[in-house]
Amino acid sequence: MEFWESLIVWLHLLLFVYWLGGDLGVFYSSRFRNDPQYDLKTRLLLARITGDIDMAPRTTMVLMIPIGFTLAAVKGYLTIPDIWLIAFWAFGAAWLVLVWWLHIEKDADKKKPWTKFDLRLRWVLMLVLAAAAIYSFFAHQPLTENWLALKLLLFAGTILCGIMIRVSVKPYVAAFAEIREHGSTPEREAVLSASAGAARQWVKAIWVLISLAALIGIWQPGF
Amino acid sequence: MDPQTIWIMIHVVLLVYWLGADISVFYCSLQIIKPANSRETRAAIAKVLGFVNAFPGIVSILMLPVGLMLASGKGLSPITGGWLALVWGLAAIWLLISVSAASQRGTPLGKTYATIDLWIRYVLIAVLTIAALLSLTGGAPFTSNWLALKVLLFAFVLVCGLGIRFTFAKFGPAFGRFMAEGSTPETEAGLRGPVMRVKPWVLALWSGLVVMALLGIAQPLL
Repeated sequence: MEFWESLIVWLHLLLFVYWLGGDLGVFYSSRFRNDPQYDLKTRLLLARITGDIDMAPRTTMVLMIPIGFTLAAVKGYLTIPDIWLIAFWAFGAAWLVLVWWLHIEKDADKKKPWTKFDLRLRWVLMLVLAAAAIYSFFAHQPLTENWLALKLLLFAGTILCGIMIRVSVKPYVAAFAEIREHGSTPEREAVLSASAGAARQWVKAIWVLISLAALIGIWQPGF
Repeated sequence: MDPQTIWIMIHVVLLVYWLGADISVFYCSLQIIKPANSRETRAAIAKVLGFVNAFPGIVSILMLPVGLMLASGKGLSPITGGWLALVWGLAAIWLLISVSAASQRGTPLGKTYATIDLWIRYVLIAVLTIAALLSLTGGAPFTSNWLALKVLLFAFVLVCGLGIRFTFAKFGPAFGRFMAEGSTPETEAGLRGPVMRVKPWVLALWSGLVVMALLGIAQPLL
């Protein structure tokens, strides 16, 4: 393997490492955020810590697109011209800026239209990537290998799971805001834990999907 | 499916729960020393820290037999068959000792386990370093230089782990004092010191791991 080819495989691997590995801290620290035993200040801080650690998986997911496609191109599995990679990188960089800005900016009103935009972007991206993957199964383009098309389909699945997390935490966000302003009640806590429970299922689904994608990437089965 | 595929996957997942989990440990350690955070908050952070930190401890022990398994599958290691089974057996015992040391922390038995674990690491660092240097200079026991270098880096990573253990040893008692006495300049300094001193060791360990990952992928002819 050429050295720079190895370098991209390495980056691809590190993205997986920080995606799945980073999620461990997110998953565990979120328990404290949802636990009414702790006082509000602690829960708010744990919510912030959870959100901060969550930037590791969020960042890696965005970067997976340019790095994944670059790797496919380097290996000769991508039929579209290499010049398109610039578009993938530009898109990845712009989206990453948006994701980080949404994390750092505290003004909710300012963020609102961009949060909506980010969610729509995820829908579009999920559909486009899934379509490209399914098309590749039949036409062997833009991806020439079926296993790679399957990986892309699994990746589109993780975007869908991410969207579903956002949908399922809506009651959570509302209940958490009420708790913050008016205090904890059993009803509010019930909404909170039900919503968090639903989101957790989607998080676990992401773990399964990216682990499968990793296995397929190592295995590279011909089918 | 080639069994080697499964072992590579396990090898990668071990890295995930070592290097990837470490980022949460690192971040939480910075939050736990913030004077703005209350005692209760920091006790919660300590729980997160303790939970996530258990993962690197376990997977780092499993990395050695899994790595040797891969090497033997590729025909790069003389440790095969019964010898490999012995390595697995020893690793299992080591894992048991290490997990017991963590779960029985603070008891005399826990202390004994921790001492045994420490000596296992000393011996391993010496054995791995000698094996790697012999391989790099004489071509045996490991025939490939990149693999010998990985073995040497593994010894380095173990050294960093010991560096972390020694510099961080004062954190536990300091945290106990902080929980008992609350935030005073002394208790805050007691928490801050170990976290600051452990940083270079952590960064060195991460560097070792990412370089090892690159070597494993590129497998360069050195």
